Amino acid sequence: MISRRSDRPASAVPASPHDGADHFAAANALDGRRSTNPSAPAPAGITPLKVVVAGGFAAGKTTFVDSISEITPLTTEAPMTQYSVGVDNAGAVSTKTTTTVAMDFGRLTLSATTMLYLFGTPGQDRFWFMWDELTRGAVGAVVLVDTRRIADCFGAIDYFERRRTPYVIALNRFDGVLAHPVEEVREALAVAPEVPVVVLDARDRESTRSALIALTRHAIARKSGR
Amino acid sequence: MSAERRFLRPFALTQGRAAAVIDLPLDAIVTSTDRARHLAHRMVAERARIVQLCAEPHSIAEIGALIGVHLGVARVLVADLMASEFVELSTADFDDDGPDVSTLERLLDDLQTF
Repeated sequence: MISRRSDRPASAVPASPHDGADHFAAANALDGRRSTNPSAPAPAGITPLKVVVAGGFAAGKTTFVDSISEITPLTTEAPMTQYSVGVDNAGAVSTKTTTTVAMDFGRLTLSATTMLYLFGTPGQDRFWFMWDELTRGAVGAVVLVDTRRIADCFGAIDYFERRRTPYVIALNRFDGVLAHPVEEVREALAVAPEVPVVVLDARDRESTRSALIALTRHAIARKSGR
Repeated sequence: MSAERRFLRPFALTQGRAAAVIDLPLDAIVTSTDRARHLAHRMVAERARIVQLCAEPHSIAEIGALIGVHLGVARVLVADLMASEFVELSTADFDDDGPDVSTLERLLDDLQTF
């Protein structure tokens, strides 16, 4: 039996109360002052690019990042209390907790002027707000799917569709096999025909690279078509 | 008010200075200047570590992870170092919906030849 994204109630992903808002800026604007144009290129002239790596718990996000990163994946943390005030409407998390949002990420120096960062999304649904920061300005997203637990990625797909972020579906082969054929999974995910679905082994660098190439191609097609 | 206070506490490292805090993307690349590296021995520990780390370019996210501070703290420390012209920042000049087509095409070339 395969789960279908269309079977779920539409409210499965909470409508973000902060769509389009800049939480990090808000959290950081201690003196109420907004950005003073941080985008002026420095002499170093390095362009950072980022790709978001999403998927359910244990779908292979960190493995994916690790397979292509030139550094051992690092974990960056932000305390939940900074952002939860007025954000976490679910009420599941008390602002008194010291919960930390942790994100694993890796880096790939592609040229003297281009660095690609791969950010794994925080696993739990209550960290949706963190996804806004990760997704803003990103090339796009790779949604890793464990075909034995397809429903785990529905939330991520909903999120990227709502944000109109280019994404590819990457079916991670565990033990070398897919639990369901690609077409069956595509149908269950109910993704648009133009969304690439690739099969990969997240441990394999070539596999990971192919997924990133598919994503970049898809992002170009989306942008060119506009 | 109490919410603000709760928020401010992690920033004790920044000596309470809130000026020069700007919206630093977590993938903004930080590089320290020669002058900063000469003066690093006179800086407080976290600032000195950032200056030394960023002799090679590092992102805000990497700084947070490698110095062992939360992202928000890393942002404030870097903003502070920027204000003193101890570090230079390189960020992508993209819209929220990501890089333009020519940047994406360069990325595609890089990934294919990588």
